[in-house]
Amino acid sequence: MLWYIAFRTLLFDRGKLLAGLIGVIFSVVLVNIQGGLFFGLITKASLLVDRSHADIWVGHRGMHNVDFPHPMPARWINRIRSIPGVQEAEPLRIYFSEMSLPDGNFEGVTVVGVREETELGRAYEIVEGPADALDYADGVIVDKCDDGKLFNPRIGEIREIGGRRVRVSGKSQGVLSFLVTPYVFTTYDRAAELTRSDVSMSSYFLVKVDPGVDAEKVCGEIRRRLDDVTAVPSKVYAATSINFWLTRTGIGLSFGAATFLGLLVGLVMVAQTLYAMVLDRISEFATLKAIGASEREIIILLSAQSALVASVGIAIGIGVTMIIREVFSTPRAAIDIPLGLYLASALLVFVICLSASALPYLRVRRVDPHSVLQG
Amino acid sequence: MNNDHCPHKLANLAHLTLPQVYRSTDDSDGSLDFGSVEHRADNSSSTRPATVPSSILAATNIRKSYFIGGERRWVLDGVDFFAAAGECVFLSGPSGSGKSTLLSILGCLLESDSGELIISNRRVDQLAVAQRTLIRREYIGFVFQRFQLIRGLSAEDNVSVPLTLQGMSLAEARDRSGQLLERVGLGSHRKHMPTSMSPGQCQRVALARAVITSPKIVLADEPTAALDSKSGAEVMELLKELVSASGSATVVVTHDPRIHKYADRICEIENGRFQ
Repeated sequence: MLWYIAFRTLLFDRGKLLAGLIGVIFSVVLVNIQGGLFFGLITKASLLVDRSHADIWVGHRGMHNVDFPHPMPARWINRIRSIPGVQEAEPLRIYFSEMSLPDGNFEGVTVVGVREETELGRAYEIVEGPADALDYADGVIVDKCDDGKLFNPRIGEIREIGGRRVRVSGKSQGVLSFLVTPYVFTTYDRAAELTRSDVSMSSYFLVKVDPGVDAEKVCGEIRRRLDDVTAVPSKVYAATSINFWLTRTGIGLSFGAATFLGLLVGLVMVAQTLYAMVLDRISEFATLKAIGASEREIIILLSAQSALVASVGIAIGIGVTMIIREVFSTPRAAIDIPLGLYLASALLVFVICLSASALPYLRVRRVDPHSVLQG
Repeated sequence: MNNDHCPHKLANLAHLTLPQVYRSTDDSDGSLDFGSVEHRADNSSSTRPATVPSSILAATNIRKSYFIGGERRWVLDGVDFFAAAGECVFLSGPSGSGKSTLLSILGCLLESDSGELIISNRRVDQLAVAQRTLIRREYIGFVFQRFQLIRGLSAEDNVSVPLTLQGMSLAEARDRSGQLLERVGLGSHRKHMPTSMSPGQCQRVALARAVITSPKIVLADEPTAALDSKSGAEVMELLKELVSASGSATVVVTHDPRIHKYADRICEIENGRFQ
């Protein structure tokens, strides 16, 4: 009956119910969209690692971010290839350079050089141009999402990188850097040429291990053989790269603060709404107390109202979030909401709504049932 | 009709026949076993012949004061009050005389400063708040001046609330409420909301809510004050009929002399004392 009273009295005051629901929906949408944008953004920090098809990343000792490698001798790769359990090991080059633009300006780019004959390090999928785009002379692959920055390069268009001629031979979709510099993929050798780098040096070695082989053990063996390298499983290096941006910039704090503010606003709206509803019906609560409703039953009633507002608001909020994600999520501003975030935000908002019922309860607790006899 | 006014507080006790007194026991364990009935050995207070076996409600030497402007003012000053099963007692008097305060104390809504309150052989004046809540739930039905119906609930559901608080299922409570609403002439209004009913109809719903659990005591605070004379008379007829059927002791606070004919006894109170 208490649930029924809670439900009916909520429905009776539809204006206030709507205000409470808006508060909850606002909180749920804000938390999920903020979280989704955060995940979408931070995922870019490890995109090259996530899509590298490698089990192990080997870089210079102390490597901390995939976009900022320190060169190491390319010949070391032979010592990795000889380790039992290593199926394949290929080098990767990552350097910064500049691409010329049609208006005479330049745009900073991150040149990624991959070996032609392997999948390791190929983080892109060609969506425009031939599949063997890198086999073309001076061929480079740019991302369609960077068209704006690079002045809409067409397939076959000639540009310069580092003062050397390149031809845009293919385009990928959604391979975006956490940095503002677009990724430009080319061959391993051409990358050194375009950036005038030492051809005897590599940025990383990407390793694929045999099926069933423990990647951690192989990492240990690599570190044993090569003193000056760091070798970690890909997942670890992806996390390291993400952690770099989280800890060295204010991005985590910024998104966290915005999310917290969203929760706070939602909490205040829900608490204020419930409080206003209680104030409106304070004599009804006094009546309930007078005719024998206990404190526990009053708490159940208020909690039930909060739970109802929370449940309906969360369901609508998640629906609205999904629509927003479908409509507005782009590779550049990806809204990446994992199931865990939906569940966590729902739980968090539900708990906050229940907490919000404490405010009206404090008011109801002070109501003297004797007051109903005082008119 | 018995329209005896109470010229003295002892007159209230005229129907008392046995020299019994309810003596309180230590209820510090918080249980609802409040006390036992004992025969008074020394009938020391010749002016207070104790209580009667049929008393459902017995209040003795009730005192209550408020601090107004830093000064203590006695609203009730040593009031004795008793009501027997099936009896309808009116509390009458000018505004501020203390009748609503007495009703609140009798209904366990308010604590007295001193005195004893016994409901159905149980001393209740020293109980904790939670226990007094249970006493109200089990023993007392309230009728309020402004009906105090829950706006979001239909007539049927409003009447069902006390039953569900006692643990009855909503379906069964609705069934019983519907029957009672039929009895009070609101069979066709079972699903109506309070906002769509007249004041007289609302008060009839409130009456039904007060008696649905067949409480031992019904306390009514100016039940006709918000009604026209015709509706007021109808409500009082109905109240008498309902409490007669259940055998409840009924205490009605009223200013309205037109309804005095429904009283078995009328107690005039002024300045915190019965006249």
